[in-house]
Amino acid sequence: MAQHSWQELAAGVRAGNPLLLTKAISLVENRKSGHTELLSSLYAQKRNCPVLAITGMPGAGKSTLINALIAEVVKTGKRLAVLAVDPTSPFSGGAFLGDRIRFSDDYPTERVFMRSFATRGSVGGVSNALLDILQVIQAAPFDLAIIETVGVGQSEIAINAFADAILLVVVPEMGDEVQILKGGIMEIPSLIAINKCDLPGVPKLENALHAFVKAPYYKVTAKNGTGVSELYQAIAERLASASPRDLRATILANKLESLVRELSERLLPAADTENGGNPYTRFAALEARIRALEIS
Amino acid sequence: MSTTVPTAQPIKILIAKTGLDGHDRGAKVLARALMDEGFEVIYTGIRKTAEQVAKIALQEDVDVIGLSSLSGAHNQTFGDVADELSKLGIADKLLIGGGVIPDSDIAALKAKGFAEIFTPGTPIANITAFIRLHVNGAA
Repeated sequence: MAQHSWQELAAGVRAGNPLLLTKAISLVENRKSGHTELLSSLYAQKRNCPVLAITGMPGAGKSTLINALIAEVVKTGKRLAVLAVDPTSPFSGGAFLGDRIRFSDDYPTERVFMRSFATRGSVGGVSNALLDILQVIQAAPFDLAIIETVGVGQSEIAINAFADAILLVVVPEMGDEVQILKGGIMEIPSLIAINKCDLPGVPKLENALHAFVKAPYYKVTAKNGTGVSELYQAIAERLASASPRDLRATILANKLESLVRELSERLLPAADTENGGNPYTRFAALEARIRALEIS
Repeated sequence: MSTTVPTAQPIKILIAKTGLDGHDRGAKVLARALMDEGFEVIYTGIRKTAEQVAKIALQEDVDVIGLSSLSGAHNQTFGDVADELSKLGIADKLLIGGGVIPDSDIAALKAKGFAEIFTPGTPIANITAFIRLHVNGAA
């Protein structure tokens, strides 16, 4: 298999070459040699590409709704990238990336590019590499990026850092008012979609959202398209009014966290043998040395 | 249970069904078994065209493409997928197939680019061992 240099991949990403784009994403996702240089090069030439994150509990209909939203996006002529995240099994390390099944796959890659990702050990519904992968997407000729995250339910806070707008998908009978009052997931969305409105329980959910949640809600039935174009209008307005985000601190913090995690694992065996295996003593020694380095 | 990232990069495999074959239990069983063996599996669902399968394989940058056919149309549908992969310049991916396929058809499918055809009764371990052997840089 021919290997491409990171320079070739960077040029390919900017030109919108689908094969080089996906190879670039793989380089970044797998942290292969050249990926930092690639990201640095692409960061310098980012385009304006807003990010919509879509979250919600498993089975709420996120993928089906995205499939319906894609049709709306394509009508406007915008070029779309969709990143769909599913959980890695903590037992086997494998994953079933099943969001793609709901997609009609009728569009040329230049109009709609979609790729599936496993969380690979990250928590919070997204993968650690996703922020870097977004930098690649935003250097390519796309007008909009949609991220579909794992719907764990109550703590999708990680996506706050990535997204210009967050859509939460809920369904009737998801819980009573107490559930909606709980902090976390109900506080972060910019918009809410009540999906599966053909099911009973919609008025009760509407009342609870109206009483306790600030974000506007829209009623849809994704499987037949009801309400989807109105929802898309609201999303487009929201994205158009969002101010550009400065992600530099987030990106740096994300990279440093990964580095520290990697170092911790490498340093752990020594912690077992020194000082009778006391991790606090071990840390004190490391901290002293790191601070003495005067890193800035 | 540890939540650290597995150290070996998972192998990505696309399981696809083309044509009008609605018998998808085999594909799903295989997808689950591969997931349990540490693979990242993308399943297309049924009734995809060869063109769609090739497009998905490109976008997802998979290492392996596995086609499933239980309705007897494999000589046509499998060949079509091999052609579409060539058109997109990704014929270098490992291409395998399985399902209800007579032994007498296997040689012709291999000539079209299929590295192996796995017929009913094949132990899953044979399939995973074959994939690991043939994917570059596999653990």
